[in-house]
Amino acid sequence: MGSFIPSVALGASLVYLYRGEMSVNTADRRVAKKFKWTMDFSSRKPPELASPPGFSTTPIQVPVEAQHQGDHHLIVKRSWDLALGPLKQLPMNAFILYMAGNSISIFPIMMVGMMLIRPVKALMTTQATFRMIEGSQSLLQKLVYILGNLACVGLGLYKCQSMGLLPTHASDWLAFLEPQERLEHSYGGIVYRT
Amino acid sequence: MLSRLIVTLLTLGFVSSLYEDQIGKFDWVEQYLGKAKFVELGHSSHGNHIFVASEKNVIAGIDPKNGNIQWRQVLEEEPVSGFDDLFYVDSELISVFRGGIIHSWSPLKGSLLWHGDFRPTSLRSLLKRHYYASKEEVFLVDITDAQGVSVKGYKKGSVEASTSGHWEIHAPWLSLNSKCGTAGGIFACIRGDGKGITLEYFHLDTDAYRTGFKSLHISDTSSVGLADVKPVDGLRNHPYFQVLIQDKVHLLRMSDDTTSGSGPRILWVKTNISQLAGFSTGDHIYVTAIDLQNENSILVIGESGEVIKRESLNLAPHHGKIDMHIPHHSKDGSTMILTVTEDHALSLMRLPGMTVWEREDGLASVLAVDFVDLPVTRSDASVEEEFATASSAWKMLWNRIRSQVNQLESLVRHILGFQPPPTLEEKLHLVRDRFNLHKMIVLVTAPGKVYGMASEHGKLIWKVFLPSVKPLVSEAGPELILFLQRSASYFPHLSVCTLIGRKEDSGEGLLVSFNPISGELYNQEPHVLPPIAHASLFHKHDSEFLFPILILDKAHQVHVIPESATPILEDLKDSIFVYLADVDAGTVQGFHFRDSSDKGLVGKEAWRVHFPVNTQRIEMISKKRQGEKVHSQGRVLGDRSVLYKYLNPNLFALATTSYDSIAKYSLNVYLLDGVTGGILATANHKRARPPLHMIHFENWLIYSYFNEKLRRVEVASMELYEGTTQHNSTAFTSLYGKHHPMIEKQGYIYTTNIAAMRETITERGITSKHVLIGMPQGAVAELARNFLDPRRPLIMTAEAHEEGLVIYIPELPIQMDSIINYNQSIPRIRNIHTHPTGLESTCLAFVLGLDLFLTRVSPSRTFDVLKEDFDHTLICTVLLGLLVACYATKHLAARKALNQAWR
Repeated sequence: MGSFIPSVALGASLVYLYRGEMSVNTADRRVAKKFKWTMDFSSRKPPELASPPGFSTTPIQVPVEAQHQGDHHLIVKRSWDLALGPLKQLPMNAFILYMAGNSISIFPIMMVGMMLIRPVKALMTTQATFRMIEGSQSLLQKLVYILGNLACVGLGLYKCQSMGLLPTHASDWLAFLEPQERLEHSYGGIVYRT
Repeated sequence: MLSRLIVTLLTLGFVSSLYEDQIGKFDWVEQYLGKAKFVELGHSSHGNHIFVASEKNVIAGIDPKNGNIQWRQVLEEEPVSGFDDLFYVDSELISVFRGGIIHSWSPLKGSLLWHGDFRPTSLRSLLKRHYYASKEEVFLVDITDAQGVSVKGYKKGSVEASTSGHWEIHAPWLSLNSKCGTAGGIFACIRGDGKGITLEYFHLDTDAYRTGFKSLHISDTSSVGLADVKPVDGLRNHPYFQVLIQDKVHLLRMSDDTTSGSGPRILWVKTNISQLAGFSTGDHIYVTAIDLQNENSILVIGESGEVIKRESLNLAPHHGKIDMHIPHHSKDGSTMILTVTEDHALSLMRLPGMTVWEREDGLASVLAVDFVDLPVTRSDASVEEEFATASSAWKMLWNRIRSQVNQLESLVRHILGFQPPPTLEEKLHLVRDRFNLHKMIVLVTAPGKVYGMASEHGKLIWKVFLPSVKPLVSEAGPELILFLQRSASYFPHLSVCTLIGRKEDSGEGLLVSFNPISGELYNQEPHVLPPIAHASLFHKHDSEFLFPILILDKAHQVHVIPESATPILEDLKDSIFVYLADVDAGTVQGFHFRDSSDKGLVGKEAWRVHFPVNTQRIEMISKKRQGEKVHSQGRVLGDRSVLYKYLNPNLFALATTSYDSIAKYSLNVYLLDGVTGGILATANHKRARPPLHMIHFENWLIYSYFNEKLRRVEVASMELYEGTTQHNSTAFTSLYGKHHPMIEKQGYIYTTNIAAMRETITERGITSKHVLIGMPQGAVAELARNFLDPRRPLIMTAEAHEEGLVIYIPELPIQMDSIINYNQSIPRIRNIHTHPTGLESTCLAFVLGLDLFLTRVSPSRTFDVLKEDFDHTLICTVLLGLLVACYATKHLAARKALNQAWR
């Protein structure tokens, strides 16, 4: 929006920014009414001014080779950052979970929930993340990213396990056990006298 | 005066506000007396009174207006009835109990005025005792083996036995079999020799006659054995006697100095009458009697023997025969008759034939109970109908549309207020409620009367008297078997209940089927079977949803009722087993069924366990409830592993007692498998003796006994487990694969005697179980099952804590707030009956004793019902308010956003 506004017209452009969605004309009229000191530049042609010292409109010639190399390194670096993100979180998470304790109360449960949900969410949105990972090592990075998230999930599950929230015991499935079918029937009692 | 009235009214208000909202809301109690043995009518300055001394050792005053109990005193229980005589003299009620304990009760409140123990110190010389109470004195007339009578007079009101007179009369002709009686201050005996029958008598309260008997000639017949002398009921204070010789009834007046000047004489002799009773109008005496030619009519006979009136009693047929009647002449000239009938009922009638009230006192001796679901309402029935006839898809569719149109129609009618008139059942509330909480209680009493009682309020709906059906004799006393063959759940079919009893003379089995909702008999004549050894309800129903009854007779032949269901049993005969415990032979026999060519199915012995009669005696058998539902198959331990329950449905508990000179009494408890006869567990308690109470459910056995050494009641608890793995999770068989269960045992102390014990039961067995314990004091306490847990540890560990166990303390608590019948004590609790309701949380508990008490019990609290005091209006208001607020804010927010946008 601000691109066609000359740098001199700073005040006006601020006004434009402020009324972001309004059309220029309406805004101008309203501005003209409202602000005494506002100058309307749109009707007048801006004067040609000399560039300030050190300012050049022509682009700087950077060696194409070097720039390309740097880009590549940066992409790989950024991709590694992205890929290693979950793994880096792991020690911190482990520490938090250790501090939370094994008692079942609202805070530990919330923490465990967060720990579990975040990597699962991340795993769900891998497609979007992978689009950002580029470069030669992308395959390895993707793998590391997935493994890191899985490790986070594993950590959460381990916490659940140590809190006793996982249905891994026979007692957790007891309620689904059907009663035994009776194969024989017996009746009886004390004989009545005559 | 006015201020006093105001104060009184204020106090009344405060008193009635105490806990009133809960009393009688879910419970009711009906009080009974038992069959009247002695009835006295009396008049005091407070009006008329009816006094009853019953065979259950209860003495009570009854309101003559409505038959309600004005006061009741329950004396101690005895196997035989304890009242010997009852007098009402001079505004004082005097009862003679257990051979000489004399109580005097205030007629209005029933408070004890005085009492004295005049029981003989030694019974050796005493043959028989007779009593008489005059205005001042109480006389005890003892017939002794010293060939005479010894008379003792005691002044009334003296706590200590102060003798006002004691004399003896020589009468060598008196013996144990002599028939004697007292009335109007005269003691009279029948004396017979070859020449004829005379009545020998003397006056008790006149000094002049202390020398000897005077005699009055009655008859020339020599059959003394059939002669009897009795006072006339209702004329106890008048010198009148009835002498019965064969079928002749003589009425005698024994007073000397009447206006006519004649001495003691026979007033009249009549035949074809029985049960003489009389009333006095002040100057005349009238005698009433039952006409033997027409048992439903009563004769009023004057002093000279003329029949003044012959009135029909119009006694309802469900009362049976009259056992005793007492007439009363009311001031307005009408005659009232109080009758005691064969069914133990007490009724007051105004002649001719109008029942004023009746009391069903037979309900004090209930032998069999069952709860029957009430039938569904008409609209629900139409829905049921929809599924009943499923011949074709089109038909079903048509049924469905029709029933839904009907429902719509009834809804519209309901809204518009044009409801069809309620049916009789609906008027009586005899339709199923939403949670199936109200049931029909079918009760069978010892005299053979069957009652239908609404569980909602305890009112009797129907009564049927079956005098021919006598109780079966078992180890625990008389027993009647009641089976619900078909409940009301199978809509077009009516429900069927069957009563099994015994024929009095031959001992043959009798079966009567009836509709438990209406009391209508399906067979007028009882079905007769050979003498019954055992009867059970079969687990599988026939095509009409009728569960057959399986009966094994003494010859071990199988009978199936109805006979049309025999093929069902024949198909399953290889998986059906019957065990019979014979107390006299000391055996438990197991039978399986084989076809015999001529007799159909016959039980063949498969196994036998012998308990030598000279060392052990079988006391009782406790089996699990048929069709018991167990929701949880195991128990979760502290380490979150499962201890699987040993749920052998064929298991039964057997208790035997033995006596030897060293260990004295001991009690043995065995757990036997009813299919194989294998003994799975035993327990032996030294110096333990009955009374025994046992309950057996799920994988538990709980029993109580008396510890003779420590003189206390103990409760033992036994639990059976399969272990941490289940051998077969789908089917249970006793026959294949022997797996011995793990057994946990523990003993506890109960701090009071136990009269009855029963576990609660719910529809699906999810709710935890409580044990209801009835105490002889009349309270019924609810005890959580985990107090009786045999796994309660001596030292508390974290794991035991995790499992929810309570540390072992031998004494079981009796918490006052766990007493389900609060202050409504039930005397002589004999049994507690529990029944599930449609609500999983709630169980009906029916306490049977002298009274009947019904309440609801929720062992895990009412988790499936909103609380009584749940504020529906508040919740609705808040909800509606929030909804309105939601829409209002939404609207406001939209407007604000629009305004914002326009700025």
